[in-house]
Amino acid sequence: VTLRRRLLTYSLIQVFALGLLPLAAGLFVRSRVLPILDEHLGRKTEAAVLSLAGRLDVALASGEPELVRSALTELAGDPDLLHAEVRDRGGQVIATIGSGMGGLTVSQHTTSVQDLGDALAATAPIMMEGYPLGSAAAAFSKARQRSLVTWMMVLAAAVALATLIAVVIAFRFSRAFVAPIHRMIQFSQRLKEGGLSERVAASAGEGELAMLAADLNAMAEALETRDAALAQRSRELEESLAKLRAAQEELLRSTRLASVGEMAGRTAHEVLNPMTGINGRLTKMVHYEIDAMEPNLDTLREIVGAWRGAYREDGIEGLGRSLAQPGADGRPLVGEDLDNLEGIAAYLADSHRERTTDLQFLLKESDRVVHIVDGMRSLTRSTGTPVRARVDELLRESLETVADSAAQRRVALELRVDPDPGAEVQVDRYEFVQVVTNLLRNALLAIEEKSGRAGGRVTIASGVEDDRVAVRVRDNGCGIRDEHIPLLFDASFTTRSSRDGTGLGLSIARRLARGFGGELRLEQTAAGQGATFLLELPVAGTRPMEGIAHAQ
Amino acid sequence: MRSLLASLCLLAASAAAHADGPAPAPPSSIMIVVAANSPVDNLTVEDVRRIFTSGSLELRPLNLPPGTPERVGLDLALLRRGPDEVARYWIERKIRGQSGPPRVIPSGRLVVKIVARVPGAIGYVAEGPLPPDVKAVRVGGLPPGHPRYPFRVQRTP
Repeated sequence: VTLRRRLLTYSLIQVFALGLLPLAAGLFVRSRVLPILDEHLGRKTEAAVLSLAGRLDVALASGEPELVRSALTELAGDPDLLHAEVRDRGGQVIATIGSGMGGLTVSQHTTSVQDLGDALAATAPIMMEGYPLGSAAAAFSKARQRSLVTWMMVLAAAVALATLIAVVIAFRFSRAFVAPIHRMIQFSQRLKEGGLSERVAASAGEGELAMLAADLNAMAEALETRDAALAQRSRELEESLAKLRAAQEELLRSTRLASVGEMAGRTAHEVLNPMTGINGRLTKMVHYEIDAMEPNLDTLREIVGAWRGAYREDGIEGLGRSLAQPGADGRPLVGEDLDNLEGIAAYLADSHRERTTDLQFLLKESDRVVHIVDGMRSLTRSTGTPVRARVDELLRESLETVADSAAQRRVALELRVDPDPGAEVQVDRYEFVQVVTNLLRNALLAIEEKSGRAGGRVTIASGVEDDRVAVRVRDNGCGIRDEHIPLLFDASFTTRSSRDGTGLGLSIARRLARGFGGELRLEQTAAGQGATFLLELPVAGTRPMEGIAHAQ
Repeated sequence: MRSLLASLCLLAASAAAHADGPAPAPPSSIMIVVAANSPVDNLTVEDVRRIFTSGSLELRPLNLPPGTPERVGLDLALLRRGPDEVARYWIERKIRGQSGPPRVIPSGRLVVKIVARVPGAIGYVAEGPLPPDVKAVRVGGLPPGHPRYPFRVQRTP
């Protein structure tokens, strides 16, 4: 529709340019040319009459009518001549040619040009050496020059009309011109909507448009082929992706298993110490029971058996007699038995003390085992429920967790949430706190290793860099030696005793950080100069308004 | 018209030749002609020169075409110049803004007719018979044909 409207517009411009402009130009020229033509005709008329008068003087003066007719006949050849006449000095017409003219005033003395409407007329006196002989007059028609202008106007009008007709016909034909283009537009729209199997029809008579249609069809075919290839490739990619995912899952599972295995090994190692103690103590207790308690119990059973036998035979007198009998050393048996019973009681008292100590030791060691196992469980626990949380709040929570430990070690904790305290991240709160707490504990231990109880300072600084929240944990502790840096995030690496850690901390912390879509790395360190760890996380969306208010 | 004038000239020439007769005779006189009723009867040569060069209030001089024997003879008598010099003379007068030569009449016959019809017209023709309404003027008291008459036709070679 737009194309046809444009064609119509161009056509109308063409009508204006080719049709109306010549018409207007014709009218303009007519208004300018006619006066010029009139003026020219006037001069011609005047010159003709003056020439006639100049030639007629001899004829009139001599009274030769033949000469007069001859002069007039010469004038008759002019196509514009309407009428010419010669009068004598009395005003009588003595010769005339043409159709006559009305309204002409003839003067015997002056030359004049008169406009008679359809003709221009001139009259001039005929003199001979100052003597008036008569007058000559002639009228020339304007018809020829008028018809010239009229023909010009007719031509301009014909051009205008022809242009108009041509435009109307062209507009009619434009439907045939535009139709294939519309077909192609509809075709391309169907292509755009995915109809790659569509084809546009074209007849050979449509020339270049048919060629264009053929090209479009070829293009659609190529697209269709390519689309099919892409779909095939996409299916293959999806299959590959599925395989890759499965492999990844497998790898993850293996890694997890390996990690679990590592952790189990480490846990077993850590548990082994207390369990060794427990085992030793239990062994000691078993030996005691077998080696020391058994004879005492035998003695006790012997005494009680002798007493019960004497009492069963003769009652209390028999028991008294039995006890009064002399023993191996000559003393009464009762003395010997009482000594033995005192010895057993003393042994049992000692044994009770020892068993109490042993049980306390066992309880303590088993507590240690529970603590170690519980610590492992807490390190590996993952809720996996990320929520939007403000970084500054999470950091404060982390600081509270280590506040007691820091105070015991006289370490100052400093939190700088600058310049964007309202920044939010999408994390599991527990895991985030675990990561930061891990870094803080490492920092506290590094300070303790360097300065003992002299204390130090740990700084947590957070800020937004590009689209990421950067949390830097900086300490002025012992730093990390160069040879340890490559091993820092290995699950099994630690420089500390089993009492202080398992070596899994940084490894797990990095894994959690990557789980948030972020990264944990050592930013800077030098032996004895402290270390800075950088935790980077993507910002979760835009900062809410209340965050700004809070910051202010 | 030209052919008519040419035939008139031929007629005049043959008439003049016929007037001269077969025997050699002195060139014929140039008559100064006026209307018969004109008061002018006698003119001096100087009068004629003034009339035909500067014009006159009362008289209207008529000339003959250059090269005609009458014109050559009169110019020789009045201006003492041949035909070419006479042509230059008139050109120079025109350049100076003075009046030109008198109106040229194609033939002596027409001159005679005009002199008869136009009041004050004065012309010249070769000596010959004149109609009754035209007369020849005496020059210096001498009639044409007199041996001392000053104006004679001059035939160019």
